[in-house]
Amino acid sequence: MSAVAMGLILAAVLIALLASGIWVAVALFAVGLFAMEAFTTSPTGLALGTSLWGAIASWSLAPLPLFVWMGEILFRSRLSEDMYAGLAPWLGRLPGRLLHVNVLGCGVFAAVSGSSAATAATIGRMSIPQLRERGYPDRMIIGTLAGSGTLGLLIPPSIILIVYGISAELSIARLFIAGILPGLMLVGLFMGYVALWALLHPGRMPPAEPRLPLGERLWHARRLIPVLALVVGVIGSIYVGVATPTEAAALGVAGALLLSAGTRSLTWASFRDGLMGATRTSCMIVFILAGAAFLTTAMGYTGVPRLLAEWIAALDLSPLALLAALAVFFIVMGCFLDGISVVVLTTSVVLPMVQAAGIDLLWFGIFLVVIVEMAQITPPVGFNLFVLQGLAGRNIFQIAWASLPFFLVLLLAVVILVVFPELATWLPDRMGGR
Amino acid sequence: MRIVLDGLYRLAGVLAALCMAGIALVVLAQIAGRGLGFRVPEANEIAGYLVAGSAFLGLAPTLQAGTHIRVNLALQVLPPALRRWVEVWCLLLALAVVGYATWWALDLVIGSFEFDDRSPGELAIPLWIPQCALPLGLGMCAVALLDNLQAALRGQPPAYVEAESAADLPGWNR
Amino acid sequence: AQSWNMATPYPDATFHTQNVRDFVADIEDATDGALSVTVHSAGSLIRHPQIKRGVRTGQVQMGEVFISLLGSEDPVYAVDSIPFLATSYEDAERLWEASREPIESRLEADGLMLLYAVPWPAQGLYTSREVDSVEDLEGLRFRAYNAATSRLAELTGMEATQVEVPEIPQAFSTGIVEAMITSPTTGVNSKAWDFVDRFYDIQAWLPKNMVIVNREAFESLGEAEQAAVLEAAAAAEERGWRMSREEAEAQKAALAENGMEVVTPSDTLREQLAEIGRTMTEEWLEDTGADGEAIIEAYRAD
Ligand code: NA
Ligand code: NA
Repeated sequence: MSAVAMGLILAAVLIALLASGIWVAVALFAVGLFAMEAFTTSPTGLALGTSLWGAIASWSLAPLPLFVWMGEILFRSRLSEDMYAGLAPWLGRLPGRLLHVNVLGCGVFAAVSGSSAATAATIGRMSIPQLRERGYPDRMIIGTLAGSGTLGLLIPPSIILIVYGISAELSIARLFIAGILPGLMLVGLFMGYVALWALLHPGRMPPAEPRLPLGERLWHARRLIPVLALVVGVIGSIYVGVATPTEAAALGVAGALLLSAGTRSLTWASFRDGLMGATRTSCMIVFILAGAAFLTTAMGYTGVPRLLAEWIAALDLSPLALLAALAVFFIVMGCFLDGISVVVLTTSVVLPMVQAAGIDLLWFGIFLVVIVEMAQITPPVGFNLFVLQGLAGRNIFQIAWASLPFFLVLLLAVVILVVFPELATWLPDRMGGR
Repeated sequence: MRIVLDGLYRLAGVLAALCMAGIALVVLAQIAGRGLGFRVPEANEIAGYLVAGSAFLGLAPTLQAGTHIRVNLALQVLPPALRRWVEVWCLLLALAVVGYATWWALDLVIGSFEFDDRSPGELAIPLWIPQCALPLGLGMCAVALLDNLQAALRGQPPAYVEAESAADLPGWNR
Repeated sequence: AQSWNMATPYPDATFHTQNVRDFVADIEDATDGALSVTVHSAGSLIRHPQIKRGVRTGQVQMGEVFISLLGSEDPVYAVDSIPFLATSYEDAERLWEASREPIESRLEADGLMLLYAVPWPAQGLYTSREVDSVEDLEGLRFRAYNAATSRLAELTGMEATQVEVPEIPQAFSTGIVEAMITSPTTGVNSKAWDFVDRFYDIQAWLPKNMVIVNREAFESLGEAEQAAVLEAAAAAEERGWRMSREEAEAQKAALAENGMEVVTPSDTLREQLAEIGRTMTEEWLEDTGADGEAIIEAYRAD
């Protein structure tokens, strides 16, 4: 059977299972099991056992539950309310107002966390209740979180850039630097879209808050100090060498606990509820990750992604056409597999063809990551969609629909990156060495 | 029976939460050790094992709380009579998948015990010990699925359904 | 016709993976396609710690493993990672001759067959500090990743700290680690010059990767195919050792070219490290008993 036919069958089975109300993680496992049984001769059960343990018992996953916990602690303390109250008077004139906090918050948090799910989960936990209470439209709250949560992948530190850098034998440091300008550009584009939307739909924004004189605004800003101190502390711990990026999450938890104790909002009940809530949320995310990892293993055995990439390689396209074909390929694959898996499964085939076409691998890494960011918000399998479904209590279609404009903004960013490759290459070229 | 099952889910939740707190403690101890000059042996491996412990032991209580997500759009618009049978289908498939995973997770643990697989560092932790969380957590999840299946078959709403609808908030596209 | 899967831990650009790909191509040529092997590199199918188990249980028919990763299972596997025991390709070859048979018999007991093993270039010390003697190492934060490197840190007065491969560049730039011991290959692949100034060519040890096959799968092949696999394996071993030697020179040159100081260690440092090597060999012998004695005796007899 051809790879295309196998791919279409598996996609159809996955969509059918999800549509019938099967839990996302269970559906991913089921499709993986089906793929192994139908299309390979390898021992399904043994592969399942290996994958369950190998993919999940991993040091690199540790920050995810910890950041989710940090979000729960902050949500249960007065700190998140304080943060929005402190910021509100300052953003009064900017069209979109507190919605920008989602974009900027994710952008800043992305500098701590290497994962997009952790970014969306931590910021979302604090922001959704606050913004809902203030009357912001749900659609924009969720869209901004889903879209800018993906910045966790592009703004260093980034797990996927490390994975790509090791495969492509590139300097991780240079890749990280290369991600900075495109990351800032995306923050700008997201904020631009939010402002534009707010100008076009003034009736759907909550009524303006009273304008305060500068002195009063400064007085309100004092409430920002604890959260700012936490953010600076966590980012700072990485950059002064107290903690590695993976370890920083634990400092975030400790800091959040100390701060909420300091503001007298830490009780045994709130501690217990926060810990249990975080355990459940991270269990949900990690179990989906386990399902995705097993599906990735199954795809490795069936060879579907590799065969499709080989098929593209055989077309012998011009560099620009190759980039377009790869973009479509990764976007489509990204609908069904987790983005990092797509990169892992196809680099053996894709990197040589990209290199042969004379495309700069450093630039291509950034190009790839922006496309993988899209995969986080495309249904049916999009991790940010799952995280936000868990946090916002909306169904996945509503969340995907809310994320669509941000998907288009990411697409625009890809085009800009192709037209102005210097966005990714200029900063690393300024670095010393080679 | 009800008390026993609910107690089981609660116990699983507490164990999962302890693993979660354990991740933070191990990592914090590692950071502190670097400053104070002591070392937590195999801290990274242990943190990874606790991630698995927390995720798998948490499966059953997370199911009961309605936190495992799914596309329940079709379910919500179905007439109640039909909805019940769709729930039964979901529970049966999930039971099959989780049951199968429990079986092979058990095989993993037994294999690790027989092969005497160990962690790569100086502690050489026998891997079957942390791996026990997999069949235990998956097995308790299977029990919870069975629990809900018998409820659905008797025409009662499964526990997670109530939790799911409680999470649905109004105000979309206002 | 049979089609096999093979799991390897390292990315495609690594010479070990290139050698594996040549090995597989040789098999496919010699068997005229009767046996085809799909290589899943970079841990994309099975992660490194599970590869041996994966081959053993038949999830893949072949696999590549860093031999001393199995040291916690049986210390004999760690023989090629005893610091300062075998410090040149000639030594490493003799040590491999002495240890091949015991390693083979251990694999055999697990239903596995050894096909070939290829060393990494000799491990060197990466640090920005000037090091003329072991005393200069005192207090350095050293990246330890297994029992042997932790013990080495202890014996040299360094502070062992655990940092995983992806975080090495950042850990060096921020001072979480100040020294590591690894091959010039890994140094070049991770662009060590971005974060560290000196490479001390201390030739600490030459660890090896081995390629193993599931015995049952191997025996299910026809006689001609079995012979083809063994022949390709012998060729891969020879080619791999040659590639490794070339790699060592080329990558040390690359380190220098990119502005790192490639330092030949002082005699004092060398002697002190050799002394530590003797201590660690003794400790290894305590763990392995008669099996270890036999290996070391055979190695020293040559
Ligand atoms: Na990031
Ligand atoms: Na997607």
